[in-house]
Amino acid sequence: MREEILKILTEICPDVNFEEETALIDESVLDSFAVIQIVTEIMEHFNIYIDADDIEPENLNSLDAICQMVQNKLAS
Amino acid sequence: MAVKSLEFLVFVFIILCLYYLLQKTDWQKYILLAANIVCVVSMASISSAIVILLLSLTVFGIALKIEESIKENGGKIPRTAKYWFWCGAVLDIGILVYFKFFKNTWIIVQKILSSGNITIGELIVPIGLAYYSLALYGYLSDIYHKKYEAEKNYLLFLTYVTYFPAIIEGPVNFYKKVMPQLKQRHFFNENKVVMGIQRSVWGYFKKLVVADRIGILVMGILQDENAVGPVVVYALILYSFQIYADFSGGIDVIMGISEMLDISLTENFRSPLVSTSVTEYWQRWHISLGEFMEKYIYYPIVLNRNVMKFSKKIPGKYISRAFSAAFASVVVFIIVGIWHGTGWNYVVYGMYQAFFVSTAVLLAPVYKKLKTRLHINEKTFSWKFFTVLRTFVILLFGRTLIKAGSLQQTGLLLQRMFSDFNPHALFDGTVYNYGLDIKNVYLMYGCILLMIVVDILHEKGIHFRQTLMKQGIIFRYIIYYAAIFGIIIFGIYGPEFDSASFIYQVF
Repeated sequence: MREEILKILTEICPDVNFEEETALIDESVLDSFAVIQIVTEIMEHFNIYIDADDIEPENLNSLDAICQMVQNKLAS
Repeated sequence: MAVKSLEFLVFVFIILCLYYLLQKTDWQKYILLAANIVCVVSMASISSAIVILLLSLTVFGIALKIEESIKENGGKIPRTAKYWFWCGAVLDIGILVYFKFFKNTWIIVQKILSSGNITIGELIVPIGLAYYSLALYGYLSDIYHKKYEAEKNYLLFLTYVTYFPAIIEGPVNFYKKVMPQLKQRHFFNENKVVMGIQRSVWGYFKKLVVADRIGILVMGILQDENAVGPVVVYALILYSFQIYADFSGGIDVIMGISEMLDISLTENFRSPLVSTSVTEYWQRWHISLGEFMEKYIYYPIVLNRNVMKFSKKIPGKYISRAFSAAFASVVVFIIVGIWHGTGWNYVVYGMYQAFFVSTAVLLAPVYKKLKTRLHINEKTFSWKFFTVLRTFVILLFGRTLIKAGSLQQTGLLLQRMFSDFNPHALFDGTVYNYGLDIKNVYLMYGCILLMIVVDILHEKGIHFRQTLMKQGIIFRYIIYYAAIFGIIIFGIYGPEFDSASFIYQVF
């Protein structure tokens, strides 16, 4: 799953090093439209629904955090 | 008690003394509450304090009700929670809308009543309402979405809502960031207090020496109907710097005071003068308002199931996503526009900003292709300089809508801007006839330049305050005294110019 998410992220934002970044939201590495593109792509790919409430730094600040959020969504 | 008055400085000094004298007791936070109430009453009125007390009490109670109904429903959000949430939200935003929109109606009612010899009190927009009503909405929404537990101590909640530095002209506060700090004890730290003083001094410099000085010239030129063409353009360029120095100066004063109290707030500016696009500008200007809009309006619209369903009908993955983002941007900026004021000019101002932000998203692939075809290297200084200048000009035209005061006046102002283009008027001494003599005009240029340089240095990661703190004590104190005396000598305090209030305080 991690590889699939990384592929999605890199396709949308090719200039960002998702393996290294740990403050994607806190340090405004991703703008709001990039977030929207990532979230909608993940929703379609994994067939899950991500709510506006899930758009929190702790869910999106790093690749690991995004993976964790997707895992939680798949489990619920 | 105005922020730039001596009383305010004495007030802050007394609060700081009491705050740190009681640092080992639980009374420390209530000193803040007392300071907040004194501030609200002395800066505005008793009625302002009553509005804030009643509104915060209602939201506090509703949040507890929401939490209770969710607990009773086994952690799932029941319908009752939804009703409570909407009750609170409508009341909170309704009060803001009432004071913003119906102030004029109230004046008419007053006139009718006064003709019959009935006098009633003046309706004043309660101080800070535009900021704390947003903070209260954010709190309600977070409780409804189970982000954290509702506050059980009303006095502490009131301390958060009325937090005196932020009530003057923002920033918009976020409960999750500020409340944990209010619950902690804060011990005196000389370094933090000195850093706070430095920031406040810089803020006063921006407000009193820069903004208020520019203000005299801008007002002089714009009020003179014979001033046309490049002189008006010149005034509007200066107005861009004035509003930035005024607003960010005010925020620096506030942030400095908050730093002295060891409470950090959301930063409101990140060198907006170097923005290369309108979108970037809104990520750098009034950041706390932008964060609020993004969190509570933008994302809920884009990720709304109906909006997503509709946008999926649009062919092309990118366009479909860009459409919903553009739609949300339009809604956000119209709200941002009317948050600033109630005339149609503010709606147009919001739509004007939305046009640039949404077309940047919708046409991004086209722009990218165009740049490749034209062999534009975005990393070159010349391109960056061009984009900064382009953004400045776009925003300058946007600001005419705010400065003019109405759509009709904006039309007249634009007409004046484009009539009789005689660049000679800028160099023949005409501009020295509007309240600032040649020395003051050059001092103003120097100050603007200093502000730009500081912003550029910040952007490059060089922070003046931290660099200063590393210097020897004698050098540091020379700088402090020079700055303070500079403000006292060059600050504008004239009765002909109302510099008591900040531009953003009225929003």
